[in-house]
Amino acid sequence: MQIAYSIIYDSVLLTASIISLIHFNKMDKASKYLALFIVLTTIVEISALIIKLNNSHNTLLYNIFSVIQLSLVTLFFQSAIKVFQRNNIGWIVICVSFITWIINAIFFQDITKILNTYFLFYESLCIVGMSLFFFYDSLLNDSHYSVLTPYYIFTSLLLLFWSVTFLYWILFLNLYSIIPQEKNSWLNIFLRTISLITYLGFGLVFLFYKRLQPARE
Amino acid sequence: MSETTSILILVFGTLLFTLFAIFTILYVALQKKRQYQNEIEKQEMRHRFANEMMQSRLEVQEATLKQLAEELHDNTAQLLGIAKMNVHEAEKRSNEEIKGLLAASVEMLSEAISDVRSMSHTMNGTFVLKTGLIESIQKDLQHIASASRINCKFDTKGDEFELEEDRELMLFRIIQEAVSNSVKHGQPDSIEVMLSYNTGSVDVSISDNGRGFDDSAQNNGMGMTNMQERVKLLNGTIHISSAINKGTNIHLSIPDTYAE
Repeated sequence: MQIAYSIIYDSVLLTASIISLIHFNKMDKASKYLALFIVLTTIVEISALIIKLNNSHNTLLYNIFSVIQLSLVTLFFQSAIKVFQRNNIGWIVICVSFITWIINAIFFQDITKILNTYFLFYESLCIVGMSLFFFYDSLLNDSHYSVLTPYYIFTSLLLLFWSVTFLYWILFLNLYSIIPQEKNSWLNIFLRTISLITYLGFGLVFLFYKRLQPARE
Repeated sequence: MSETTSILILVFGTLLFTLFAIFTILYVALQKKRQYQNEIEKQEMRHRFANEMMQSRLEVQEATLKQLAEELHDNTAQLLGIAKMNVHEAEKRSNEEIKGLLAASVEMLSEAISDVRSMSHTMNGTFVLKTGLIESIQKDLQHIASASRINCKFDTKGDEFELEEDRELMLFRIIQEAVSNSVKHGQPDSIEVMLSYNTGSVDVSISDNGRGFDDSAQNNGMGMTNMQERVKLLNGTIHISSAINKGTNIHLSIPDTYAE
């Protein structure tokens, strides 16, 4: 069942990636980072599925991708929020993230053996924080009043995804050690469903990108 | 931590975080909507204020014109009338040598009195309203034709209907301003005014064969600004087309508020 679900999941991701690549030239800099994020996620997920089908561990792949994923999302916020641009906050977050990732990999969670859930927890904190700051900044400074814009929808999807999975990463190790394998599968499906909704949302925004652009006021 | 506790924390915690995310997203959407409504209200207030300012300015202008018209009618025209009587009397008593000169002066004074009266009538808003739009335009054009020897043509189309008093007066002032601008700046041989009564609107076309101007250049003078402001107050539209040495055409369309 997990394999079938993975195929559906990867198909949605692949569709979202193709759409994002088709519309890539029409996008602004910030959206391009998220398009790149979707394309890389697709590559990683398909590679992970292939590795899994060959009965090997794909943990290393996910662990390496987590820091790249956070960097791309941070670059999106760096381009979308003026305060970030002025103070290079996005670049600072990326640097701190790389340091955190390295420290976690060396001292706490071996990247070749276990999923770096501490870093994923840190990642969710960063993304939720940046999403909230984006909303705060848009309420204070944005002259566009419509919320049906790519930036607003992207940020809403990111906030929703990382808020929903926030506790999962804290409890991950605990859950895996005490919850039976059968229930863990359900947790994985839950996590993937949330991801599926998020990537589907991204794909739809890329598809209707031109129409969702705010009118210049 | 037991299995049940972990599951409970995960389920309720996730639910809580999901609600938090949804609440934040909806809150921002709601605030954005409020910001938009506030901006619309602010713009409406600014627009209303600008309109009121314009209205008061035009009211002051109208009052000044009325005062000036009364002054011309009651004072200047009277004085000219007395002067004409005196010259006429002098003409009767004079010898043949200067009789011709005095007769010509009487003629000129009669013309001046007629011009001053006609000018005072078209300047006086109350008189314009009493006379009606069509007759007032005719009088204004007659006055221009006699004063500046320009061939003025006036025509109407459609069944005449009354506009609101203020609107009618303002429309007359716009036409007056357009014709006066044409005489002042265009130096034309002829001016044509066409008034069309359509369903729901009154359209006016004022064209001349004068010097014209480059309508792509942004060099709006006082007269043009006055016209545009008045048209804006009437919720109408104005379209000016002109080219150097090709004359000028002004087209106005004013909605009939009685029909709305």
